[in-house]
Amino acid sequence: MNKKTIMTEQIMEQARTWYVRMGSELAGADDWALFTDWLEESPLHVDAYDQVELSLSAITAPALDQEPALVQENAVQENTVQENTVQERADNVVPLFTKPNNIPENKSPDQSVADKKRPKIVWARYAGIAALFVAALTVFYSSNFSSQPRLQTYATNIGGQEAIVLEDGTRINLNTNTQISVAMTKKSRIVTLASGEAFFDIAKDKKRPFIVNAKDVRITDIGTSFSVYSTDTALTVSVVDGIVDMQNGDQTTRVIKGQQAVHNRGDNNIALRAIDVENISTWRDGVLIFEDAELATIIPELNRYFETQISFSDEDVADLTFSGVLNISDQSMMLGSMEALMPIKAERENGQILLSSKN
Amino acid sequence: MPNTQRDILTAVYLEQRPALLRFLCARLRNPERAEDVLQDVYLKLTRTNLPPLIDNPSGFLFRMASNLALDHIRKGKRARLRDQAWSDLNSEKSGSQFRADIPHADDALIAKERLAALNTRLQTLSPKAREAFKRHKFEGQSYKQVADEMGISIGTVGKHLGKAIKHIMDADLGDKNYG
Repeated sequence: MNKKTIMTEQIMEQARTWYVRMGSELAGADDWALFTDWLEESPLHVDAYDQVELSLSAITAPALDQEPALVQENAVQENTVQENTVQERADNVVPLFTKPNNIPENKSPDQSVADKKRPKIVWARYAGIAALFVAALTVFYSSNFSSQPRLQTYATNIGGQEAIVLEDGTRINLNTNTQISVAMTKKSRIVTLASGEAFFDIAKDKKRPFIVNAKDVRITDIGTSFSVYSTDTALTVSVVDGIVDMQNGDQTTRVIKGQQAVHNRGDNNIALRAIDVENISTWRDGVLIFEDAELATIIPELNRYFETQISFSDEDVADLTFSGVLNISDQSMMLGSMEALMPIKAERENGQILLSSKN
Repeated sequence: MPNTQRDILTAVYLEQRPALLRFLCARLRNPERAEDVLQDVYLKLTRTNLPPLIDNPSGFLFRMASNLALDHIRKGKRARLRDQAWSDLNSEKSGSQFRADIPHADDALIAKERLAALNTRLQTLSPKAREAFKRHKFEGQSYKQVADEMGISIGTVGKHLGKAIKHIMDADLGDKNYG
């Protein structure tokens, strides 16, 4: 209760003002960043905001309850007002809003960022995210406010690779056609792998865990180097050194040095198998190493690196196996090696490359 | 492409994820719970029906995160109240019938009582502020809708809501249920 005695009316007033401001459908990321600043300033601010939200929870509470049936059965009959509230909110936790026009001129504790018209600009930027997938290495900031942790996005195009060194000394190699975003905060280091493949060599920092988010899996590093490859159908994590934890819903799978974990999308299981650490992420050196691999599995892998796609003309070619090293920095050279090592020939046809049996 | 809405929101989610996490850490004062809530946001985003039109996707995501965080806070609080009730009960061997019921108290009934009390408080509020508050809170109208239907500016809607909230909270003063 000590908290309450030093909780000033001024702070409560600020909390109410923030509550009204953040309750608006027009509040954007900038407003939420400023609000976060305010929350971070003092535990009293969070206490005050708790009080405001909880004092109104008679209204917002049923909406957010995980047991809507219980609430509805008991509360609905005698109170039509609540029935409406329960029904509406339960169906649609965040109400739908119509087009923003003007930003409310609430007096804001700090400043009125809200005066900007932001929606159009914001949308334009999001539309651009798709373009980033094929763009060359790009960096942008999510916000103009220095107080917000900077979010940096890096992307490579098909055939491209990039090496990034973060402020903490962590090294990240991006493979072909990859997009990641990086957020460094006081408490954590978070990378989101939106698509593609990246190799991480993490600088140790016990105070700031390193987390890689890929689709619905969270990978937590325990001082290590590993690669993450994300496709529409699967997520593959290969550990070169140390240990990582993969968290998928409630399930956590520990992956150690020399192991590869494969998580197929739509399947909760994570399968582990042993791999040779020497063969992990050799793309960083411009080569891929295969051991007794069928062309049917090799070709899609090679096609990640080149605009000109390779296909094969018959099943005999698909069944051929290959062991060796292929150079992925030059497609013609790569095809030359393949022709020399296997009974196949490569021909360019309609902007494609067709592999067929030599005989 | 039927998934466009979801695709855009997912892209915005990826971009805003660090900011969302930072907000949740500040709001919940607990990085682990913040991660959990953020995971909930993602699940909601990918697995539930979304409104057909969202004009402010980042705002939408933050509001979703904020609502889910409040849910967490309320759950934690309820659990603490129940624990308290249990320990009160156990320390006082011969609990009365009423007290024995407390651990099983129906949250919905409590919510209903609170709502009734709220309605009473609203009666002593200025009519305009009451109307703005009810439209927004009970009927789920946006600030813009409230402004349009009451013929006032959105800024004035904010002022009415602020006044209403202060009024409700002043009436709560001394009420030990919060804080």
